Amino acid sequence: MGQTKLVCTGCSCLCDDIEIQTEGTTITGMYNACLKGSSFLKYYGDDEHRTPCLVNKQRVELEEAIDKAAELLRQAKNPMIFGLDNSTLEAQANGVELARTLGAVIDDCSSFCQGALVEEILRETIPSCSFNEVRRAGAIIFWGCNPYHSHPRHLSKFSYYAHSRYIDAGWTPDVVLSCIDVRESELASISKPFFRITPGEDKELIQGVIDAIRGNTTRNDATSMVSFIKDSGLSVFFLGLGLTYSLDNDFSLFIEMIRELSNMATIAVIPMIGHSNMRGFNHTLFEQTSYVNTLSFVNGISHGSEYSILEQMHKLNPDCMLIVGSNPLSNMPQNLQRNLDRMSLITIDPAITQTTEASKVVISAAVSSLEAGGSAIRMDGVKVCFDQAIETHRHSDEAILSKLLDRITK
Amino acid sequence: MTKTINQVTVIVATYRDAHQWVIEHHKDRIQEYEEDLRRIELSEQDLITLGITSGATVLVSNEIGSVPVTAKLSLGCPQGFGYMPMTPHCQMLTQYDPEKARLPNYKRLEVKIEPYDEEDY
Repeated sequence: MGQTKLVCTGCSCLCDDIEIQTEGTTITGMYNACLKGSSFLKYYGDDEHRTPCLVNKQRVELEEAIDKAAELLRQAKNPMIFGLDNSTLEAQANGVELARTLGAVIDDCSSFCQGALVEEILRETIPSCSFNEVRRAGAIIFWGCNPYHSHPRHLSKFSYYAHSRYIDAGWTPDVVLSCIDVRESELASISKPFFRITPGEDKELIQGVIDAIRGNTTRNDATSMVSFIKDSGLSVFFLGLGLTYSLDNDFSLFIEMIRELSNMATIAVIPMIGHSNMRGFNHTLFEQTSYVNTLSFVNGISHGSEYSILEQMHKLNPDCMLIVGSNPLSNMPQNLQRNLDRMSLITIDPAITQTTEASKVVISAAVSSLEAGGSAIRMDGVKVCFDQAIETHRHSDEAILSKLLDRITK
Repeated sequence: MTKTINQVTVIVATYRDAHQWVIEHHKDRIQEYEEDLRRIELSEQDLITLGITSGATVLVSNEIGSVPVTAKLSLGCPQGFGYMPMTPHCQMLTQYDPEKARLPNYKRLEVKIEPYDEEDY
């Protein structure tokens, strides 16, 4: 029996203190992982959930699956690469190179998650900070998210309970914990103040905060928010998908609010990213093209919402889609799911999913960190490196994409 | 005689539940869990308008689809709004329409709700 430390890739917290006990390749014990992380690791540790390599639903060897995938991608008139949010930075670099070589469209989940926000952070129009700095913040504000379910160790390991100062009695962090949400979540019950808004009301609250800073008469919740932020030194906003969807991916008013708040206090924003390395995808593409997602390598580099997975699927543009570590058939809107049936799908994934079941080619992959070493970018922008924790016969996304690239360029 | 059907129109925000991961390891309880998640949380006023109490089955529908779910009272939920866990049932009501918005309608599903009697359908 062996005991190994690993980085959990169940979400973008990338907790680096997980310990697993193993017998061969089987996980027999686990320490420090949260509800979500332990379920994630156990799920992939169970062979029953893992997919073999398949071509037209028939089991094949890895090399045959890669040959077939390369053939389909070469023949495609409008190939698209989607996903890579749970892959290592090294695999993502290979994915981008493959898209460039194919002259393909490339996008990831960030185009309908936190990509717009990450792009503003990378362009430095929105200030950000690392988790280390959050520990000395005067106010922590969660907006449109509930870490109790989305990132269960966030409060204890990185934000509220991880704070460097506690009040004299010793059981409460010396920081204002606030939350803005449409539901009275678990987080709301410990937040003071909790601002409850109705779905879609975020924009009005943001405008209210701007008005309050400018000294105009406005809503009470906005005035109250400005008041504690003014007295807090560093205030960190953790932004969830509730806000992204309420603003319909348009952060212009939010940026204006942050700009105004920054004149009276130190402000930082960290996106509550779900996928383990979605931010890594944004960084990788940004470094190479100065865009974080929704990109086409047809005739050079073009960028725009028409290259988002949503628009591509809506317009049925791709004839062949390579999906890496994502399950769009499960998490896309109903009207888009139907369109995936009309494309040739190639999936690289560790597990059996609805998307692998609909794919012409499935390439079985190792799970990042658990079975494949590499690196990833945590939600706060810090790079985290990890070694392979357990042995596997499966290849990493990085190796599979490298082989695909070799076949395509031959 | 025409049967009068009480209806309300609400905006639904969906949300995720961490137990969706956990339940994969408890196959004997998946059905029970999925039944529990097959719900819509509504305000007291909307339950009264519908003429039902918490626990009754309602039909939630829009131009995309319809799904029968359990109506639950959510204290503090404003009238005209509701909450649903993001599940395959809820997914049946979701849509991406670039004419209406840049993102899918996960946080603003406009739905019609009416009491559901299996014999009527």
